[in-house]
Amino acid sequence: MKRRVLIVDDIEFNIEFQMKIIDTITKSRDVDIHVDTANSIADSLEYIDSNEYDAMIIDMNLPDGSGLEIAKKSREKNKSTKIAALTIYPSEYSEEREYFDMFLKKPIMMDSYRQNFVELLDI
Amino acid sequence: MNTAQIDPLTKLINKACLLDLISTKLEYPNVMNKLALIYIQFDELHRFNDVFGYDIDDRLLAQLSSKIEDILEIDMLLARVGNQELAILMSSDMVKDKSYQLSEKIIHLLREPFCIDDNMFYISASIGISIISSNISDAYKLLKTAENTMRKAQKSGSNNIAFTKLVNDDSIKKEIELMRDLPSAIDNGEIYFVYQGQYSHDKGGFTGAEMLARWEHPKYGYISPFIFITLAEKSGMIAPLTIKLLIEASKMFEKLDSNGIDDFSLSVNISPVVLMEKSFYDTVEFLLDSYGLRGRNLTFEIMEDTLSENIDNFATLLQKFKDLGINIAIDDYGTGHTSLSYLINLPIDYIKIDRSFVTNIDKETKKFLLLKSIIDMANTLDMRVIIEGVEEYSEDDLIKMFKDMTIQGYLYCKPIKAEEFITKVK
Repeated sequence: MKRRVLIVDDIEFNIEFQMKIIDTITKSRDVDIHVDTANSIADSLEYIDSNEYDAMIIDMNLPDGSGLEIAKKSREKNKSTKIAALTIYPSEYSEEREYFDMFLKKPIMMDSYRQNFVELLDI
Repeated sequence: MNTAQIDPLTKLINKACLLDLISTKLEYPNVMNKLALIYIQFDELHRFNDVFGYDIDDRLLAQLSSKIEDILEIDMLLARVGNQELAILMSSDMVKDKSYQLSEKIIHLLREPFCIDDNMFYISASIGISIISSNISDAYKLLKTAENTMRKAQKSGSNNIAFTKLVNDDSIKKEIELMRDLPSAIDNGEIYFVYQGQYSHDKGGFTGAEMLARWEHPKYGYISPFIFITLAEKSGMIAPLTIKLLIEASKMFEKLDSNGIDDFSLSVNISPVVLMEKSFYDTVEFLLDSYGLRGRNLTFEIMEDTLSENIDNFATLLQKFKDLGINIAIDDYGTGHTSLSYLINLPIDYIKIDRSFVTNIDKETKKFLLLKSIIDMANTLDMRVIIEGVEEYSEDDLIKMFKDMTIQGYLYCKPIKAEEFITKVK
């Protein structure tokens, strides 16, 4: 089973933490997860243009704007890509729920992230 | 002051006058000094009246107020605020300590019998103290809070003292703002970590460091760790903060390696709130494996007072972490109420002796002997000792007399950022 995921966050610490959790998921389940990482909206849009993703986890507070822009672009391209917003304040995005399949709380906690990631990818 | 403001029996100012004076003080607050109001209620003075005469309660109150007035300092003010109630208004830069000490003196005073017409009377009282932490402008609120606090003390029996700290709306607003900002501060690195070196006399150098969290808030500046750690514990943010701390430790171990500094230990403070969280053990296991922390010289520091409250539960829990290869240190030893011989049931590697046992050991022989006895006991129980808060060479000279001591204090190293710390240790 293969999956491709895009993780967007401008804080390197958060990307690394997510990668390490995903690594434990890969090891504990029969699944091959390829992870691309981006630090900005601009980077993310390039990745979306040239790849097909099963899921994305997008930090909503990025240096060049809101993660919402990435979610909209992804929805336009491929409605089946699952999108999770990563944010401290999920309630701020209550009117944009249609663009997201899931809201993940920041700071990231290992247990809940792992559980939500598995659910998001349906693995 | 006119006669309407004076109580004719005790010759003290009355409640109305006290409220006026408090209002004036609150209107022109002294930045250095905080205000406290000590509210004293004597227990049932009138019970003596049937046997010893109809006015014994009044005469006792007059004598009590005069005795209390004798022990007051010049800037303290005594007032009669009720039938058998007195209040003391005071201001000081150390108002909590001073008001408590004074209340203890009053309780002590009451241990001696009072004498009227050759009869002895034993009096008891309950005392409530309200302290204003910043600019509250309601004098009545201060008085009522002190009275309500006194009732709280009363519930615990006679001759008890209770405290309430009044916090103004601005402080509450600030606390709410800090609590709201805490998650992003953890996420974006506004909360960062510093290192305080631990110096070994025997090895002649630093052998470890304690990691400490610091928060520079964009609006409020430096926030005391005591405040934000408490807020983090209240708001569920202490676990993510601890994770960040442990990951930072893993990065620091790598930096130490690349600078050729080996055999070095790092200590992190673990809140009891995190320790008791079910998922914490799994998280630690994940961090040990994923961040290369397994086999590193990592120590969890746990405050003594939290352990002493729940020693049996902690014994099993701490052993699990010890089995993962993590050292356990008891922090601020001496501030709780645990005897070392009781701690023998816990898997402890280090005890960190609180600074209060070290300050002035060069001047107070008894203090030095107490420190020596704790070190002897720790050695007998096979625990290593770290002495905190060493700030004077004269204190350090005495500590050098003990073998295998590790020192953590400003004398050798104040808390500094990672890069500066590595330069210092190299």
